[in-house]
Amino acid sequence: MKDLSLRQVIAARVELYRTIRSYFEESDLEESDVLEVEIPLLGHAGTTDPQINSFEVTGQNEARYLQSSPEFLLKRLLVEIRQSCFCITKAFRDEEHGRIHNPEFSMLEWYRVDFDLDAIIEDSLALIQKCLGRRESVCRETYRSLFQKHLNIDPHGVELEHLQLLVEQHTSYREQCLSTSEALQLLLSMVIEPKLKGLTVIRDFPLDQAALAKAGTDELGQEVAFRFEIYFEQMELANGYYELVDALEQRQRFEQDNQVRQKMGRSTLQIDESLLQAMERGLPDCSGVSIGLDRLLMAKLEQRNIDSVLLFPWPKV
Amino acid sequence: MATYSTNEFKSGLKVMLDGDPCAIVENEFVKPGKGQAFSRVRLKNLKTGRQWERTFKSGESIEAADVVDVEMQYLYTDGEFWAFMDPDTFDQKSADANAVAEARQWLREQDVCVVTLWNDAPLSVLPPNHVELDIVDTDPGLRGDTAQGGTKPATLSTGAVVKVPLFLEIGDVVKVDTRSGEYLSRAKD
Repeated sequence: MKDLSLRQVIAARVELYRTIRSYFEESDLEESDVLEVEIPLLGHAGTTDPQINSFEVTGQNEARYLQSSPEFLLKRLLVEIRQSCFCITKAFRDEEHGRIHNPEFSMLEWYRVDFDLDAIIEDSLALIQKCLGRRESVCRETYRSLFQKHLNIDPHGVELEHLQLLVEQHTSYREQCLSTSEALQLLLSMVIEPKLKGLTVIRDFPLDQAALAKAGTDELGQEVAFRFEIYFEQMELANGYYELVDALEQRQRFEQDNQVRQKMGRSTLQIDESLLQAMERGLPDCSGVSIGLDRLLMAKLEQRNIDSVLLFPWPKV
Repeated sequence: MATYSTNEFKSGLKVMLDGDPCAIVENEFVKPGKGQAFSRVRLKNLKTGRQWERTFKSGESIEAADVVDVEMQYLYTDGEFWAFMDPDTFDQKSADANAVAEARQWLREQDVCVVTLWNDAPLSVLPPNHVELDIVDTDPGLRGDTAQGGTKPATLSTGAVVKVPLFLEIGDVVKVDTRSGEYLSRAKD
């Protein structure tokens, strides 16, 4: 690992953003341009995602939320412009701080109209390869194939008891309070991730990890979420969906989120009615991805700690 | 009973784990994708010195350990216990052989040590970094060899054996680094 000077970090980020913009300018995947857009950071709604905590800010005599992702605002925009677009922005998540997490971070998010999951995965890989400036090996997995390969289980049908046994065998977690989905997540991050090399695509997630992805069936007839992630070595770089466009189902998922939050003892949030209204008018058939840009910079510069690519890491701001 | 939640974890924090007092050495934040966050923690068992790894789900909490470091003066030993006194309160504590451990060979009466107390009882003892002790036994000095910097073993008043320069004799006082067990210099009387 190289030690970087402040100037090298500044220059690398400038080059990264230039590469991203030129990727979308030169992109011949579509007839029309991919528009660069800017969205507000302070939204009137926070995310209901049970695993994400938004920063709440008071101003103009009302509560606003620093956006944990530009997703809701970009989708409302998509309903209006019906054209592929991208934005480079800041995102904020409270209580996420560590070697590869900073509570304030940079994000690239883009949407491609008429792209399905396969198309958006290839698009994402092409962009990442171009940004890294080198060819990395690409390993394509499904959530199932990855767990079969490393733990010899089918994550879609496995019993919680068996998962608890694996957790005890392979990790240092000793309590008995994991749900099936939490146990799978723990095994993924502590057993499987350390073995990943180059770029790894993981697709077709269990339905309870769908977030905002469309549901469908895989080649074995299993109901899965059309969601994918791309890892560089052991670090998650990208998360994307073949987007859910059904407003009613979206409302049910938000309500479910709030129920989970309540069970976890977290505050519930107002559902983003503006997003649902826009979706009722019709979100175009599309896929979207977000990439953590600080992490992409870490991958490009071969750094292990997010602080090395930030000019002002969280504790020093 | 005080507890610490995962978001309060940081190195140095003293907690109870499986009935033993531990200090957090390192806390790694682990969060897969959009999923559940975990804290992967490395801990040092303060009784045995062994390091453990344990993982907690974010939001889980563990019991705090009542562990404090106090500067205390070493008084005496009866061979089974070692007595220490707080110079401000005159409060006395006795430490057993497990607590004193390796420190015993550096303990000189009146010296001030750091005694780690768990529930008010000594858990471990840290001697001063530098101590001055008498040589009680060593081979007679071989004159003329000093230039080559040769050394010989010498037994000190506390029972510790250190390598000292050849010219030193029984009755000399030497300054020793307790962390490395190395001779530093001849003490000025």
